[in-house]
Amino acid sequence: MQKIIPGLVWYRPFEPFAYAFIRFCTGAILMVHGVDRLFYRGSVADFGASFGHPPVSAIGAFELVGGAMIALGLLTRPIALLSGLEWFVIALAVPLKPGSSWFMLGATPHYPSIITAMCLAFVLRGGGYYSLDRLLGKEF
Amino acid sequence: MIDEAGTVDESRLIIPQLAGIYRQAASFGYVVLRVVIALVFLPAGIDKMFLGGAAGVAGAIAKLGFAPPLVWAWIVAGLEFFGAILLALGLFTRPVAFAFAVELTVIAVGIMAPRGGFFWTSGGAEVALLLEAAMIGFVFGGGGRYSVDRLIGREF
Repeated sequence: MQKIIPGLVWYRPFEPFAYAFIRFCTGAILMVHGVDRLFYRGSVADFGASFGHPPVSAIGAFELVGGAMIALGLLTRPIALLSGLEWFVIALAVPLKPGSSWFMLGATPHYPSIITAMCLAFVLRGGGYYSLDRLLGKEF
Repeated sequence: MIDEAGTVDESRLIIPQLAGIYRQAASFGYVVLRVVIALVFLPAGIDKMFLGGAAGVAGAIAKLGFAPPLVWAWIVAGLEFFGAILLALGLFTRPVAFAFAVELTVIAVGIMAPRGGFFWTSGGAEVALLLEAAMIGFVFGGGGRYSVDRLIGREF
């Protein structure tokens, strides 16, 4: 790959970290939800009635531990698949307020759908080079 | 080179039978991320570009202190429309992703955090932060294997 501006070649060493960076940040954001559900005012209201009423501590624990595992790349594919399913259910359950558009950011099904799609990408790729999966030498 | 599709080694897989699927799938992870994140912005771009949305956001932009607001509104409109298309195609990936990262910083800090704190259920900043994390990743990684950047063999 030729650089259009040759002087920008200095950021080539960052290239290999791109995927791991996105995976880490996504996992970290998912963890925040787990912390919120476990220790603060977080509820499972965003699931609607899709599972009946799942226990908030179980969902919170999954989000906290699962988010950490995605961030570190441990059992990346199965955990990302579960997280993707979780946020897909949330996307289906979130009510669309009258007057708000599905496409607009905010408290619409848009955001859970983005997370679902990102988790799907993690299922496709797995942990990648900078992950505990790779370090342990075993992965799903 | 960007970490996109490492070798898939059967002996490392807990279920070795999946190796064939993984060989097919692994190289698509990054491009799925890039295209999905890009297309998130296209509806907002179309709205601002063609449906009068640019004038609508000028008020919010003025409140942030960017002057003149209407010019910035059209810059944002152009970024969200043309930038989304370029990013989805993977053409000029890095500068486009960088522009989005800057925009999303302003949105997260200036608009979403004051409005709704962190959580998306109250319209908070995590939405912009997640997208921004992905954009910074694209600034690192560039277009990757399936991109117009790679096709023409030149990139920023």
